Amino acid sequence: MNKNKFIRKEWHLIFKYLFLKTKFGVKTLEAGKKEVVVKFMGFLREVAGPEIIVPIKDNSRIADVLQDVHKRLEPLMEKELLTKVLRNSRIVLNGVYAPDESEINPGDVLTIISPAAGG
Amino acid sequence: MRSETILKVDLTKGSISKETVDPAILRNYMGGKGLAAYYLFNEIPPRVPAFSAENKVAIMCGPLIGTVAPSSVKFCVATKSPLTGGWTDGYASGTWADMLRAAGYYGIIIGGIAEKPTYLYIEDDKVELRDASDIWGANTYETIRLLKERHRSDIEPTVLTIGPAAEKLGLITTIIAEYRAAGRGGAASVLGFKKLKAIVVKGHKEVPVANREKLEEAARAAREKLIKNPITGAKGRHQQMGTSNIVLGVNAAGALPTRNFQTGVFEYADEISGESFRDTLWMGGQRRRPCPRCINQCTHVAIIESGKWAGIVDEGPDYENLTMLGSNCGIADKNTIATAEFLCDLYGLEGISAGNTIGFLMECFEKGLITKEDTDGVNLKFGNEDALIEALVRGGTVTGKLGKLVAMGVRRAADVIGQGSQKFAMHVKGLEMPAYEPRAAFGMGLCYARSDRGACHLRPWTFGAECLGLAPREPPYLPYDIQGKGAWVKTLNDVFAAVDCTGVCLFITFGIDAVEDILPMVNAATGFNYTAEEYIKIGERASNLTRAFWFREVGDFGREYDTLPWRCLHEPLPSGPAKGKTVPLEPMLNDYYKAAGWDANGKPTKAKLQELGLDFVINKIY
Repeated sequence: MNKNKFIRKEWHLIFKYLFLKTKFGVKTLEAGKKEVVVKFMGFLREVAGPEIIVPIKDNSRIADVLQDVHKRLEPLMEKELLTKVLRNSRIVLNGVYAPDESEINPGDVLTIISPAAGG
Repeated sequence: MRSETILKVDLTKGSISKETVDPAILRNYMGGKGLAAYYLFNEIPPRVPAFSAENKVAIMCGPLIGTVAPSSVKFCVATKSPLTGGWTDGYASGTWADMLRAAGYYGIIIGGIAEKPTYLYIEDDKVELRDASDIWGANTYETIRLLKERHRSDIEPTVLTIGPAAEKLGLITTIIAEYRAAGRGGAASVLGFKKLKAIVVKGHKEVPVANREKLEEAARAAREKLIKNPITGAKGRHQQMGTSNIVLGVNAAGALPTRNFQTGVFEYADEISGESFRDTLWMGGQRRRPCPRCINQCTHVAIIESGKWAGIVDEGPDYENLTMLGSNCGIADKNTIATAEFLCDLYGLEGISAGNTIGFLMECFEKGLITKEDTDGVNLKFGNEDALIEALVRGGTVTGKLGKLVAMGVRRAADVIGQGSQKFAMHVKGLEMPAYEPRAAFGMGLCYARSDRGACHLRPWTFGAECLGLAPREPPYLPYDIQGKGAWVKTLNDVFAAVDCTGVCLFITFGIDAVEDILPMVNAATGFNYTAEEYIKIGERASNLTRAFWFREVGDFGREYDTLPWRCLHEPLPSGPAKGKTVPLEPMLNDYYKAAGWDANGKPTKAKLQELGLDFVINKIY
C-alpha cells in the first residue's frame, strides 16, 4: 500500500483517532478499578473507535453506561442523531443480549452494535 | 400511456422478434421481477424440465434503469431453476442494463436451444445470433475481453456471459455481466444448456422517460438524502467497506456462519472484517468501482500484492461471499478469500452457494463421511486455504469427483453422500443458505423459509432491523421476537419486491425510503402515477405470481417446503448471544400466511389472487 497516499486521503480518520486518543486515552482495564469496556460495532465505530473504557459506580446499570457513552460522544456528532443511534443499537453484555436495566459490574464487556447495513 | 419493447429469442429456430409490452401489463407488473414473473408464468409450459428447450430465461429491466435515478442499474434474470426446480430470479448491477436500454430494449426472453454455441449481438435495431464456437469454454473475464475487442467501435459494448461452470451444467452457477454476478439458482446453467454463451450490447439511444424534469427533481432529492446518510453517504461505511462493513456486527450478534453453520461466532472475525479489508487490500476504501449514478459505491477492488495469490485483482469480496468463502469454510486469510471470490467470478460459480457447499463438504470430510478418495486427494478440512481454492477450481470446471460434488450444490451433494448428512446440508428448497445464521435472528429464518427462490437473504432483509440497530429495540424487531414477525416480514417482502421491479439497487433503501423517495422517481419515469398502495401491490402481485409458479411446477408443493435445515430447527447454537437458540418457525409461518392471504398450506387463496388481478393463475393451481 502507498502509505503517503493513504495518509493524504484519510487524514480525517487519522485526526479523529488522535483526537479520541487524547480525549479518552487508549488503555486497558486495570485491576481493582471500577471500569467496563465498551466496544463499538457499526456506525459508532467510525465515530468513537473500536472501544473505550468507561468508569462505573456501585449498582450501575447498562442505562447508566449508555448515558455516559452519550455524553462522551456528544462532541463528536449531532446530539439528536446520537440519541437515535443509541436508542436503536443492540446491546450485548458479556456476549449476551441484555436489557438496559441489567446490572453491570467492573470488568464487564458491553458491546454496542450500532446501525450498519449490508446485504 | 407509454410502453416498452422486449426481444423474444428462439434459439431453436434462430429467430428474433420484437414485441411491444401491453401498457396495461406494464402498469401492473412494471418491470424487473414483476414483468419477468408475468412472462415466464405465461410462456413456460407447466412442468417442463429446467434443462429443456421449452424453459425460458427472462432478462428484464425496470423503468428507472439508465435514467438519472441513483443506483438505477439493477436488472433481473429469472427462469425455472435447475437447482431448485422452482422459481428463481436474481439481480446484477453494473453497466450492462444501461446499454440494453440505450439500445431501445426493456428486456429479453430467451427460449429454445441452439444447435451450436451462440451469442446474441444487439446494436440498436440490429439484433443477431452469432457463432460462439471460438469462445465456448473461455472463462468469463476472457469472454468479456474477447467480445469487447471484437465489437468495439464508437462505443465499447457491454457483455453478459456465462462461464465454464454453466457450460458444463454445474448447478450453482451465475451469469457475469460486466464483472457483476447476476443471481442465484443456476440461471446461467439454463443458458449453458441452451448454448447461449453471451449477450453483447451497444446502444446509442436516449432512455425514454415520461417527465424528465420531475424525474431529475426527485432524483436530486433522493441523492441529497443518500449523501447525508452515514451508511450510504460520502465517506460512509459503504464507501469505506461496502457491505462487508457488517462482519463484526454480525459476529457480535452471534450470526456469522462459521464452519458450515456449526456456530455463529468466528474467532478470527477481526481478520476478515470489512475494516481489515479496508485497511489492506482495499487501500483505505480508495479502490472503489461504483456503478453508474451510485452514491453508496459499495464495490471495492482488491489487489493482492504478496503471498501465494499475488497478482490477483478483482472486485470484492462483498459481505456474502466474504463470509461464505471465509468463516463458513473456517478461512481467516483475506488473500485466500479474495482469491476464492475471483475464481467464482472467473468460472461463473455463484459464491454463496459455492462457499456453502464447500463448507458442508468440509464438515463431511472432518466427520469421516467422505475421504480423500471422494475428494480426489484434497485434504478438505476447515481452514485449509489450498483445499478451498482447489475445490473452487474443480467445481468451476466441473472436474473430478470433488468438482462434481461442489458443482451439484449442497442438497444433491448431501443426497449423494447420505449417512445423515442431510441434517446439516444448509439449504431451503435446494438453494444454499446465505450468510446470516437464522438461529440468531428469527426473522431471517422466516425469510429463508418462505422466500420464493429458496434460502435468500433479500426476500426481505430483516437482519439489519433485528440485530444491527436499524430499528428500535422493541417488538417485533428484536431478534428473538416471534409475535408480529410474520406480518412485518410480509409487509417488508412486498416492499422489497416492488423495489426489485423498479431497476434501482436495494442498497439505496439503506439511505432513502423505499416508497416515499423511490415512488416519485418511478412515477416521473413511467407517467403511471401509482399511489403508494398500488406500488406496493406490484411487489405483492409479483410475489404471489412466483409463489403460484412453485405450486404449478412442483406437484406436492406447500407448507413443508417452507422450512429450514434440520440444524436450524433442532440443534441449539453453541455460543454467542444466541447460545441455546433454535428457530421457532411454525408460529411465524402461520402469521405470515395469514397476513399474506394464503391458506394453511401456504397457497394463495382464490380471493387473494383475484384481489391482485391474477385471475389467470387460479385455474393453473386449483
